Amino acid sequence: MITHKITKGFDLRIKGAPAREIADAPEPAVVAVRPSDFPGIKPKIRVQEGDTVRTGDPLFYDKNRPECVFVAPATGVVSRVVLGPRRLLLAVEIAVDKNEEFAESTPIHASSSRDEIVAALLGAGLWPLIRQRPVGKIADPAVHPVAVFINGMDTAPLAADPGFALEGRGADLQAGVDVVRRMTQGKVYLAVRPGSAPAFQGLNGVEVHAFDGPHPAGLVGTHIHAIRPLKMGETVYALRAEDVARIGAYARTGRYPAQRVVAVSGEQAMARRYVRVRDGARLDALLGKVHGAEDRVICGSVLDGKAEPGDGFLGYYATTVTVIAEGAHDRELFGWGLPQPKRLSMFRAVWPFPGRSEVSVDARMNGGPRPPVNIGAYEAVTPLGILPSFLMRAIQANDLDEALQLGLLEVTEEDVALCTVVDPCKNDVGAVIRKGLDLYERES
Amino acid sequence: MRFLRNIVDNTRKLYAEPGSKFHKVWPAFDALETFLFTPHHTAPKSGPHVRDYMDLKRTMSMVIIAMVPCLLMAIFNTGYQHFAALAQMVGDGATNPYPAQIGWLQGLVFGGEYAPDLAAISFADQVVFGLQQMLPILIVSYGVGLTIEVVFSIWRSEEVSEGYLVSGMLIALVVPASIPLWQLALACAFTVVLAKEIFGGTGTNIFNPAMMARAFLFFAYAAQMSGDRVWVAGNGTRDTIDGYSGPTALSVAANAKLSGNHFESEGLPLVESSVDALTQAGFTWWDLFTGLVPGSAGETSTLAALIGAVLMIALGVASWRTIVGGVAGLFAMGLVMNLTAGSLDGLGGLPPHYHLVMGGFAFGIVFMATDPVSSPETNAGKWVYGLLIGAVTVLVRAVNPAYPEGMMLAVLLLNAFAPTIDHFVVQSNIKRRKVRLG
Repeated sequence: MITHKITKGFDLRIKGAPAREIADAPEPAVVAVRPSDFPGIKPKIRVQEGDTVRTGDPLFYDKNRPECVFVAPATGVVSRVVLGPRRLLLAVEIAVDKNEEFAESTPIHASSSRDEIVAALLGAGLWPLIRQRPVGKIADPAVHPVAVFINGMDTAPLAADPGFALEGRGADLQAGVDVVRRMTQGKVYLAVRPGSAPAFQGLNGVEVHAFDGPHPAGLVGTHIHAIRPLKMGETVYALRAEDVARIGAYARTGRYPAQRVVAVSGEQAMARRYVRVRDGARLDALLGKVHGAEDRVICGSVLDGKAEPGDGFLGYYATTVTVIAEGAHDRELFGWGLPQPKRLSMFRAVWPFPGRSEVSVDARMNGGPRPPVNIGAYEAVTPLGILPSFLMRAIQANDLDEALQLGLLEVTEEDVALCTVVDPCKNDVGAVIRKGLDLYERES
Repeated sequence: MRFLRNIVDNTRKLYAEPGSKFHKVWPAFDALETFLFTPHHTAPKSGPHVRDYMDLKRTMSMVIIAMVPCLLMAIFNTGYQHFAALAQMVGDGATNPYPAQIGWLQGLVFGGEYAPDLAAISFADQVVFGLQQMLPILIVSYGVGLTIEVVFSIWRSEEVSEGYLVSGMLIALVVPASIPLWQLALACAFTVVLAKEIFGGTGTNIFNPAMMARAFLFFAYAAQMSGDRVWVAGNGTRDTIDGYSGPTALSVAANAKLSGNHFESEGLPLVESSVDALTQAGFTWWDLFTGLVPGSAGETSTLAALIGAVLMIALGVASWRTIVGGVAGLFAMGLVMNLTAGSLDGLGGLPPHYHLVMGGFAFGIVFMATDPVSSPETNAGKWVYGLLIGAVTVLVRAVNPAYPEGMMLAVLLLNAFAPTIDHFVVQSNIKRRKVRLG
C-alpha cells in the first residue's frame, strides 16, 4: 500500500457526526427518480401514470444514449410523472407495493466480455453509478478508460464512511471489483484512509493507495492527480466503493440492488446514524419527520449536496443526508468585526487561537458578494497544483485553450468546493468550473 | 440589540424590494445595514451549503486594526515634532507663536489662552496637537473617498465594497500632517475615480489607490509634499511652522555629497560618511526605527509598521512573502550600492539597515505592497515582487538625483509589473503540468 500525504486543504469541523450504527429505515410509501440527479442527460419517459413497474424496470432513458436506462428502485404503481416547462421530465414517482418483484436481468459471468458487461449494466440501470473523469458525468461506455478509480473514503464534513457502511460486504465488493476491472486494460486503484477498514482488506485485483490529510484528500480528483494524472484525451472511470459493492451484489444475485446505506448527519437531524434505505425514498423515511423551511435538508454533504424540501426524495448519488439550520433570520450585531470562536472558519482573522472545537453551522453566506480579492484562500485549500483564480479567469474570458493548459480537466465542481466555502468574496468557484467544462464539451 | 434589529428590519422595507421608495439608492442603505448586522441571505440550493465566516469586511477591518499602531504613532509624533521644532526655534531667538496662533482643538480642549511651556511639553499637549492635525485628514480622506465609492455603487447597483476603508486610512498616513485639506480631498477624489472606479472598482484596480493618491499629490503639489519645510506641522500659514526647516533623514543623507575624501553635507561640518551626516543632523538608527523624526504622518515609525506586520501575518490577511522579499531586496541592493558608492550621492553609501528605517519603506512594504489586488497573486510572484520593490526602492534613492524617496515609485512600478510577474509564474505552472503529463 502506498500512502499519499495531502497537506493543502481544510477539514470543516462541524457538529453532528452520525453514530456508527446501522438501522433499517421503514419502507417508504413513495419513491422517486429524478433526471436532475444525472447532469448532462436528456430524459425521455418510457412509462405512464398508472403503469405497474417492478424493481429494476426502466422508467426513462437518455436520448443521447438510448441504451442507458434509469430504473425503478421499487415495485409499485407509477403514481405521478412530473413535467416541467417545455414538458421537461422532472420526476417519476412510484407508490411502493409491499410485494417486491424484480425485473429480469442479464447475468454477468466470469467469462463475460467487456461489451456484455457494459450491456448488462446499462440495461440494469446500474451504469449511471460509473462516472468518468474528466468532466465528471456518467461514463461513456464506448470509451475504454486507462484506469478505474474506486473511492473507499470520503473526507467531506459529516459524510458517511464507506469503510463502515461496507462492513460485512466483502464478497459483494470483490464481485464488483471483478466486474469493473474488466472495463479497463489498465489498473484498478482503490483509495482508502490510512489503516484501511476491514471491508477493504484482502481485495484481489486492486492497487490500494492510502490518502492522509484534510479534505479534499478523499476526492477522486485528488486521487487521480496523485496516482495517475491524465494526459490529454485520456479517460478514467470513477466509482465509489459503495457502488462497486452494489454492482457486485447485482452480479451475484441478478437482482437490482435497491437498498443502500446512508448516513444521516447534521445538527438538526433527529437521529444521527447510518440507515439502510431504499433508493429514491422520500426523505421522511430516513429522517423520521418532515423538516420545515427552518432546516436545510441536503442530499449529500454540505460541500457537494443538493438542498431538498423536507418532503423531497433521496438523491441517486447521495450516501449522506445532512440536515443543518437554514439560519435565514439569524443576524449578528457587528458579526464582521468581533472575534468569533464558535463560527466555521479557516482564517485566523475570525478566531486567532488554535484548538477550536466543532462548530454549529447554518446555510448563510456570511457576507455579501464582492469582486474577487485574492488573499491566498483558494491556493491554501487546493492540493492539485492548479491556480484556481487564474483558471477561473481563463474560463470567464472564454479562453478554453488557456483553461485546459491550466488544468481545467483535472477538476470538477467538487474539487473546488472548498474554494467556494473559504472565499471571503463569496464567489461560486464551482459554477465557473462547470461553465468551463460545458464549454469544453461543446467545443470538443 | 433587539431594538436595533427592529429598526433595521423596518427600514429594510423602505429600500430592499424593487419598487420600494428608496430602492434606487439601496447600496447606501445596505452598507449601513450590513455594517450593523451580518447579511442573512443563504447559500444556493446546490453547491456548497456553508460558508466561512470570513468576509471582505473582516479582511479589511483586520488591516485597519494592524494600522492602529501607525495611526497612534502618527498622532503622537505630529505633536512631538511640532513642539520640538518650536522649542528649537524659540531657543534660537524666534518668537513663540503661542498663544497668538492656536489650533481649533487646542482652543477647544485648553481654552483660548493656551500657552504651553515649551521647556516642559506634556503628553497631552502632543496628543491634542496630533489629533488636531490627523482628525481632519482622516475625515476628509474617508468622507470624500467613501462618498464617491457609494455613488459609484449606486450607479452600478452593487453592494459597497470595503476596499476604501483601508485606502482611506493609508492615504491619511502617507501624507505630511501639514497637508492642505483641499489638496487631500482632490487626491482622494482623483484616486477613487481615476485609479480605482475607472478600472471597475475594488478588486480590479492596477495600482494601489493610496499610493496613487500620494503620487498625485507629489507631482501636482510638490511644494506641499517635498522639501524640508513640510514635515513638521504647525498652526501658521499652510499649517506649517513659519520659517522652520526640518529635513527628513532621507534628504539629509541624500545631500551628503562626495567632496574629496569627505562627505560634505550642506550647512554642516565635514563628515566622513552619510551615517555621520545623519548623526550630526540628529538622526540615530534608533530614532529612525522608533520614528520620532520628521516625515509623512504615519510612515516614520518602523517599529509601528513592524507591529502592524506581525498583526497582519498573525491574522492571515497579508502575505509574509512580499514583506520578507521586500526586506531582502532592500538589503541586497543596499549592499550592491555600497560597493559602487564611491561615485554616488550619499544615499548609496548608507548601510542597508538604514534604508530599512528611513522614509516610507517599512510602512509601504507592510501596508501598500501587500495589497492583494495590486500585487501578484501567486506565491512565487509575491517573492519576486517583494524583492524587486526592495531593490528598486534603494536604486531610486541612491541613483535618482531629483528626489530621495524611492518607495512610492517602486511600489507603483511593480504594481504595473505585477500581472507580468504572474504571467511568468502561470507559464511555469503550465509547463510543469505539461512535463508531468508528458
